Amino acid sequence: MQNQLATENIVSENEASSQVFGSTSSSRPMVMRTISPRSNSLAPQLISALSTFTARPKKVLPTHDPRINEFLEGGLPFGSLCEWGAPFGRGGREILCRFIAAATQSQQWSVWVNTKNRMSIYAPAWAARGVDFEYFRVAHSSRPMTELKPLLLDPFFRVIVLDAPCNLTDDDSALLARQARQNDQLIILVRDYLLSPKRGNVWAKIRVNCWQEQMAERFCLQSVRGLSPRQCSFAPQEIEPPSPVEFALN
Amino acid sequence: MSFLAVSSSHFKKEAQSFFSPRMMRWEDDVMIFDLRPCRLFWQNHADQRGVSLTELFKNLVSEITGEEATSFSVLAETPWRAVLMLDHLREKNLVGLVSLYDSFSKGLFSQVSWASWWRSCHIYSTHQHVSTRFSRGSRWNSTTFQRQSAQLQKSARRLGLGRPSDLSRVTTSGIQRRFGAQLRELWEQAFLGGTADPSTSQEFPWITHETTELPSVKRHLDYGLEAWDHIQPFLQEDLDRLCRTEVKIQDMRIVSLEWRLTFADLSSHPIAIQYRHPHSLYREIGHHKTTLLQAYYNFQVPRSAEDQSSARAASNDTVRIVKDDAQTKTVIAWSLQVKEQMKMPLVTSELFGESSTEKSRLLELENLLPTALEKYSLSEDWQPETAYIPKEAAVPSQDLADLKPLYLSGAKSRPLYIFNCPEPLPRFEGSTLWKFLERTMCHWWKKDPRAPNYRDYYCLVDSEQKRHWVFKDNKGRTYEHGLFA
Repeated sequence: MQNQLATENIVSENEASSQVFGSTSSSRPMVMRTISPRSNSLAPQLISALSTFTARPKKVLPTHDPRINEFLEGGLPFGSLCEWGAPFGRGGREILCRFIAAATQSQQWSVWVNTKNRMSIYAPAWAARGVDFEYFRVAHSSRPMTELKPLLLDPFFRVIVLDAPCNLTDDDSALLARQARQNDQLIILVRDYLLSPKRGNVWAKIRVNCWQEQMAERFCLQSVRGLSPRQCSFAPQEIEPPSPVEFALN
Repeated sequence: MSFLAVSSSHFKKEAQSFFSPRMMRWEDDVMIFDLRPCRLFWQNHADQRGVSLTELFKNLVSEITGEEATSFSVLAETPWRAVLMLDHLREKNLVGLVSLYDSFSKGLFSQVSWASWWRSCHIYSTHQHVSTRFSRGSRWNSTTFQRQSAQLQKSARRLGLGRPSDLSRVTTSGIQRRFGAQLRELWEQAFLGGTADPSTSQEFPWITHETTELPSVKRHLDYGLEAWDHIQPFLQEDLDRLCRTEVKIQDMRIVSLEWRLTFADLSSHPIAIQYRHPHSLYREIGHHKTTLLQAYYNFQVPRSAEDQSSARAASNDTVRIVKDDAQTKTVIAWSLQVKEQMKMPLVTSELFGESSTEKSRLLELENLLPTALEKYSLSEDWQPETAYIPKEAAVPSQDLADLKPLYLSGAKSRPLYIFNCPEPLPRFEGSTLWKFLERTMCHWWKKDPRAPNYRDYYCLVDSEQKRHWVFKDNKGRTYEHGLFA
């Protein structure tokens, strides 16, 4: 390996797979590297290959607010499992709703899996925050990993939010992370408690806590994993989405 | 659009189950189709062709009946309104398809004549007599109905009531007092959109029309089976056999199957395998993933009582095997029969070739799930309970620009999650912070003495920093309605 020169070929996945399986609908760039002999050091080639990877545009889901996007370095990344610590009743899902609004406004199918008994989403509040119901569905299940497995395995929904599922095992998290990676989906696991850096979901690429302060009513975001340690807060009016009519007209 | 009534003298036998698996022969040349099991299916096809549902059915009716210029058809929300309007169209010789969802057709419906009314009532009475002949406790009395009808005819002539809609001058209680409950219910269902108390009203005498014997297969096992993993391969084989029994299987869209299990004690138990949208068995020959998943959901042991009470019911009735606590039931045989199907003639099915549009994929995905995916439609109402409707995806999303901004801006201060029913406010330990949000008037014009006049909504922050959406009504009662999740 050390005596090999590396050359790289950046091809689109379409070209690669179309040679074998036929055309595909998605196009994801990837790097193919062929190694040739007579190199004394692999390090420069590896560094150049890594830079090729990092230079590719990240596929993230941003919101309409630049400060949230800046906090998340662009947005929540597709192709990954993200964990969101939002104690129920403390406003953490307000920020998530902004992501759903952004996804549906850009015609990306999104599904919210509600596991709460006796409660359901209040649709006008979601619409007021910019969610487009044409591309938004809600599923109710107290055991989504067993009852909604076909939905979780299908790449149809680009954004899937599992709101506080009970009894989620490590294997379940591994499955979700794998599916998100294979299907280039964004799967968000919402927890009814604040996440701790000491123990947690090793399969989640990004782990963030979100809550609303009692007195000041400011929304707080705190990174737990996947981002450099950071925390920020916003007043509700600072992250007010554009009015729904503006959404509709745009 | 729930019901389609078609009048044609040339209804092809093979096309009778084209529009829906559920149909009724109202008269010799009049069929009524219940579109509810397959409304999403037709909406999807209308979307693919870029036309409205009305336009789609107009084209289909002329294609199926082969009588573009002489067939009469009506789309309506109830079968009774559909047949009344159909008779009116035939009387006036107004060919084509009319949808009772637009204002012009509603105006036309108010012109229904007494002749159409009595003809339809006579047929209604005949069907009602047949459907309730063997049922106990039925309130339909044909003799009484004929006597009361004669009374109404006499009164209409005397009072100068030109058409049935003119009876709106009389209150419904007055109609019942003079002409009986049966006529009152019929009139309410026709011109008021329903009775005041649906739980006591007479149901429409729907008599399902069976066209052909539906395909079925049977299996007798060499040894008893209990576990799903052992049953699944045999069931898959039987689904393939079922496909081979039908010559034109590629034209069939199955809406429901019955899987009847026979146990070792020779008892039998039916399991309904329901599809949310009409499903083509032909497309899944060899694996039958969708059917096997739906069979599995209904085969498993019932969940705990808490799960059952909290889980949202599937859109169709399902039957689960009830297993004894001590014993397991061994399956020794079963039969698999198609219960409801739609048949699409090959030419038309080619026009509607299954495509990979997003809506089609979503319908296929919904068929794989045990519960429906909910979609919501907003209504112009400020009351939280009636401000939105969980609707089937058939209804196109309304343009938010049409919704008054007032309703949406009011919803900004409301929470993302609400309780299905407002719950009595629990006692909180420690101090709480109350912040007034809004005062909401109730539907005062409905004059329900139990309903409060208004609600004052607050955001209540408890000692755990949870924000509750609570309201206090004018009677001083306090409830929790939602959480600012």
